[in-house]
Amino acid sequence: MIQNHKKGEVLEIAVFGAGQKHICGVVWRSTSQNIVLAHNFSGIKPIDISIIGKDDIVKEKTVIPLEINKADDLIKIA
Amino acid sequence: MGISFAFDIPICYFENMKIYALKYKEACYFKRKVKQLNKKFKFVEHVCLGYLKIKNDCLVVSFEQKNDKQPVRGLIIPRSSIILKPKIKAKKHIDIEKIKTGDKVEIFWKDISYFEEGIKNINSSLMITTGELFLKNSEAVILKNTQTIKVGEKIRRHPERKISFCAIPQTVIYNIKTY
Repeated sequence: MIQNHKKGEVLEIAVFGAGQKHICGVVWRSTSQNIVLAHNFSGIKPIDISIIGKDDIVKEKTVIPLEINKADDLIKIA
Repeated sequence: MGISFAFDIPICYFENMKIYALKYKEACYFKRKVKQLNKKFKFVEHVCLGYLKIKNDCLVVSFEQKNDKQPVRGLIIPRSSIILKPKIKAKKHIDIEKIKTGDKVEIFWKDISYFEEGIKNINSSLMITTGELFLKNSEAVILKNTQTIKVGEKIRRHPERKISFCAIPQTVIYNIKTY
């Protein structure tokens, strides 16, 4: 499991919940207990986030999103 | 000359359920007249990231999905809202030349919708905005003294608070009537 999440990194995470679910997003903040993933940005402002407890993470991996419209500055803005 | 691209994205271009980053533009509302409401008005680019699924004229971008790949939370984005590449112009369905500042108009357009408990129907939200044409430029139509309703199972006002100005991207408009 990745211990240090870098801001701007795109992650796909499997978490425990009501059944297992998969969440993807850009790392916005990370503490020892939680990780904040941003899914949607208005300009540079995140407008949709998920706060995930690190204890709930079953599996995680870094992904490189496919771009259909040069959203390559996603990393830059995060 | 603009290349009509947004409505002509070949389905094979996408790989279903892979993670995509998309840029799109969205209508915006203003409570009062602000400085940015001028001829140079531009929409703020939105970027979303999620598992992509294609259905009819919409893209479903889910931020969360179940083990069986059913979307839980995300956005339904009409294809015409997507910004593909800088300088590539999306296709416009209507001719806005005929409407003039001050005209009272009724605009039919497609909006982005948000879901958070799975989706029953994958369709973009149909919206009707009425008001007076305040200004238009190459990418937006801005109305004042507007009222917008969302057409669906229930017809409801959108947004619920009172707004005075509404800027709509031209690419998502599919009909305009004057009255």
